[in-house]
Amino acid sequence: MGDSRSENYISSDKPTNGRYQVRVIPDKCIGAASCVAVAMKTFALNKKQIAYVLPTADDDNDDDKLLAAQSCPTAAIEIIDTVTGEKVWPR
Amino acid sequence: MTQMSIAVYTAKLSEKEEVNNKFIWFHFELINPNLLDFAAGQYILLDIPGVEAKKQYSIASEPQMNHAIELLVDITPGGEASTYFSQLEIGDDITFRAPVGVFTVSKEKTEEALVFVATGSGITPLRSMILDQLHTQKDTRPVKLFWGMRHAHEMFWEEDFYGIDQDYDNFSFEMILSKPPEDWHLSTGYVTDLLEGYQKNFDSAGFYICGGSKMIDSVREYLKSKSVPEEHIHTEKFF
Repeated sequence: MGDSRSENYISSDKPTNGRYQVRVIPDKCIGAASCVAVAMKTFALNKKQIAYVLPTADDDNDDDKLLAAQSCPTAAIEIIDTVTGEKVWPR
Repeated sequence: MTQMSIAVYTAKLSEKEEVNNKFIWFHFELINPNLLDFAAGQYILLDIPGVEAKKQYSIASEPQMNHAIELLVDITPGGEASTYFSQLEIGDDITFRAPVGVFTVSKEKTEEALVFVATGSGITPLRSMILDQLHTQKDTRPVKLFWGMRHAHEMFWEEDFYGIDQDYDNFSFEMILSKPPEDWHLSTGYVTDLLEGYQKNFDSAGFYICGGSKMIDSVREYLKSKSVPEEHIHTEKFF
C-alpha cells in the first residue's frame, strides 16, 4: 500500500512510460476503489478510504489509467495527456 | 488475491425478469470470449453505447457457472444505465470488461466465521460469495447474512436465502426493514441493530459489507468500536 508519506500524493509524477498523468480529487472520492481494482500500481486507498496515487504509477499503462478514471462513479480522477497538455478525462 | 487480467467480453441477453418495481434480474450468455473465470464478489465494467464512463455491476451468479453472468440492476435511479437496461431485449448484445475487483473472500481461512452484511442491491456480490462458499468451496465455517431493506415491497430473494438456511447447518440469514409495514413481525431497524444482537465470533470473524457509503461507514465504525481488526473488515461501496 506504499509508505505513509506517499498517502498524501494526489498526482502522479510526469510519466516516463506512456503519456498520461493522473490526479485524484480527494473531495470527490467516496472510496469505491474501482480505480484500485483496475490500476493497482497507480492507486490505493488511505486509512480514510480516500484514493491516493502510488509512486509506482509508471508501471501501469495509459489504457488502464484511463479505464480506472472512467470507472470512477464520481469522476474523482483526472487524466492529463502530458504531450498535448489536454485533459483527457473527464471531458 | 491475484489480479486476473481484465478482458473485453460480449454477451447476449437470454433471460430477463422484473423482480419487483425496483429491480430487474438479467442472465447473459457469454459470446466472445465464451468463458469467464472470476472470483465471487467481483464485478464488470459495462459499456453503454454513447457513454464514455464505465458502469460497475457486481456479478450475482456463482463463478462455477463460467459460461454466463447474472446481474441484478436497480432501475430506479433513472439514469443512462437504468434506461439502457430497461430497454434491453432478449437477444441483445452487451459489451463489458471483466473481471474487476478485490472484494472477495480471503482464501487463507484465517477468519473463523464469515459475516455478510448488505443493504438493498448490495446483496448482489454477497449472493455470489455465499453460494460459492457453500456450494463449491464446501466451507464449513459459520456463515451469517444480515440484509437490510427499507420497505417490504422491495424485498426479493429472501425465500432463496431462507431455503439455504434450511439446507446448510452452518448458514443463517436475518432480514431487517427500516420502514416496515404495520404487519411486519421480524426485525425493524438497521443492519447495525442486527450486528448488535449478534456479537458472536466478533474478534475472529471476517466481515464482508456491501451497500451505500453511509451504511458501510456506520458498520465499519461500529465494528471498530467492538475491536474488530481492520484487516477483517472488507467493503464494497455502491454509489
